[in-house]
Amino acid sequence: MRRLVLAAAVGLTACTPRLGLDGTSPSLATLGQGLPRGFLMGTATAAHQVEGGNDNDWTDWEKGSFPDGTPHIVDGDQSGLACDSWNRFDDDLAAMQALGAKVYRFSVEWSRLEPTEGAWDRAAMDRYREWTVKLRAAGIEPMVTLHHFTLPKWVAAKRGFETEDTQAAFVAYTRRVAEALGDTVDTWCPFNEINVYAAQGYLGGIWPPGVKDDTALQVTVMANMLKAHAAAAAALREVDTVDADGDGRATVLTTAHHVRIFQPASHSVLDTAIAGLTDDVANEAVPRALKTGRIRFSVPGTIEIDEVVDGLAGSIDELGLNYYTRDILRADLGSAALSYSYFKAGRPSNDLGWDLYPDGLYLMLTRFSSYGWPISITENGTADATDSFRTEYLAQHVAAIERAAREGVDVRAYYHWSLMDNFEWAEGYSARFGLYRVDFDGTRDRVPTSAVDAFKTIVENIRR
Amino acid sequence: MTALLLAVLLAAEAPAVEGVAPPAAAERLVGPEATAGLGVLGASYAQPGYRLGDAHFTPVVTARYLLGGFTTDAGVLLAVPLTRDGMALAFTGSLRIGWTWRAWSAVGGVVMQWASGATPASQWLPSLRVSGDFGTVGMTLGVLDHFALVPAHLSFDFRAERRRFSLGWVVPIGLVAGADLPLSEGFGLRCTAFAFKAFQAEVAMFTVAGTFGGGR
Repeated sequence: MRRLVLAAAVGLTACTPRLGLDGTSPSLATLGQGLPRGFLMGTATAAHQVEGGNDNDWTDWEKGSFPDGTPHIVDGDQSGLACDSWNRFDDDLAAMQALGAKVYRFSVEWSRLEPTEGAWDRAAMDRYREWTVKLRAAGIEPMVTLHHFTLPKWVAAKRGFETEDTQAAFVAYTRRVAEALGDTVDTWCPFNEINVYAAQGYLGGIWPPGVKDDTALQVTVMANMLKAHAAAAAALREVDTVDADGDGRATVLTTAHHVRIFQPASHSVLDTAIAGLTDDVANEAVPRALKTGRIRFSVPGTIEIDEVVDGLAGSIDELGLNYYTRDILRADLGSAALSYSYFKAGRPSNDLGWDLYPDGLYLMLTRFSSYGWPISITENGTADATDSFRTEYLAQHVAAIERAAREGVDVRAYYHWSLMDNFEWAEGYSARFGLYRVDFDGTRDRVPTSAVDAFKTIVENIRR
Repeated sequence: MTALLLAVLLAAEAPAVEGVAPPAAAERLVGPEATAGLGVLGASYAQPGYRLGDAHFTPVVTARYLLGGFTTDAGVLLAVPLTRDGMALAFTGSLRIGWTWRAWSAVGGVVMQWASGATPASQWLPSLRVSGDFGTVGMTLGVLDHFALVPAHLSFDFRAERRRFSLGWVVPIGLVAGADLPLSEGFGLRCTAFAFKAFQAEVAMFTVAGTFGGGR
């Protein structure tokens, strides 16, 4: 009863604290001074988006079309050579050094390392090792992601993470990578955005395998990936026993969890309840499972999963948050998602129409700090082809981190998405997220945007 | 719908069966009434360490009219968010029709909410309210009652002289309470409050309204 009365009182006055950072221009002269001492700034990429020359389930998907003839990828783009990072890593490293970056998050490509089941490409592994050695020599701490949306074709043919059977193959791959890179890498991220992978592939149907509106399969995939995460984390801790940076920890396990603000369109009970349910599945379910070791997904009338998984609790040491934007949700009981999602009109937005909402990063940092993990921003960035607002976006989001840090949130690193323009999944090459511009029809040189200087200034302002 | 309304209206005006007089308006469970009030509404959803929602200022007007036993119950509610860049300004209209007997009253209809800038802009929901009188205690069952803000509730009324108090349970977990306090013949104050949690959503509202006319 006391809780109910309290909820009523709070409910009546419930005003989420909003900082009003959008539209502001935080001073670059001092920005960064409010970040915690030793805060790490860097960038993030993913193998399929930058390496070029990959052959996986996405390369097949990129060639296809939807039933109405619309290509799977905007403008019919295919990843192809991408940024050619496979051959131009030194250019990437030089770009990072010009930023003053201290960390770099990248993924290794499973399909490159194990193109067919049980056949390992030693030369490919050696190249990744060469990268981690070079990064460390440059004073840049690598974070290695093991799964960033792509699957080897042979894994996809066996239904990927729709089945628990894929876990064994994923753990075998994880062990191989840990054996090869463990002495140069401490920070590991088994999965990137479990929630987004499942939503785009099994609810939206716009990523492989292109299944639409299958909520049951969506949450089943999320559950299987969480189980695979637990097993992979255990394997990493067992295999990687070398403390590469001398901080006393041989492994730092994290997950890059995509979070969004889901704002109810109105006070309607339906809008509010469905926004709450969406938030629970998309934002809360994964961290809750990682904290408690219990996977619980509830989609009323569709599927209930409630399972305790050995090793899941304690399987991360830090929580990574990927934050970009805010969605407005209006109830739509006729759709699988139970809502229609849109971006608020009249708001500042990026090239993809995404609401530029830096307050959301502050809200997510304060929210997830309640779990007790140190937090890193493992992705944050914006699509800005005209190089007109990226600097402001970066400054506003760093200001949001400063505010959260001042309020006691243990936030330790920021990885800007992305180091350079790249193959942006279903958006193809149309969305420009890079701190460096890449001309995909030309030389593919990394050309600094105006945000590079801002990034560098922020790094220099951080107290060491 | 028009044909149904006409049929009901004609039935309401039909002459009484010889020897069986229809109950007069004053003998029915509820009578004609109008209310105008102001409220505050908090709507949010919550997770550990996080609550996303807004408080609203809510002017509200309702009216009930009886034509014989035929009952029309209508109202409008404006929800004005108190924070910038939060939930949309929204207008809600409710229209319910039904029948009122000596001890029972039932109305059902629709609630339409229009939210500024929302996609889609309008949202339609059914709404039902059934009230019964058992002497000193009355009972009300509502589904998407109170402008569809309350998912479902079962409330009990207690009368003391001309005052009336009610307390009820909101599904799945919550409370609804009310009080009618007559100030003069034909005029009084009505206080209504509810608070509930449904899934992650937490909604609470408090309204004070002046009542003109009579009845539950």
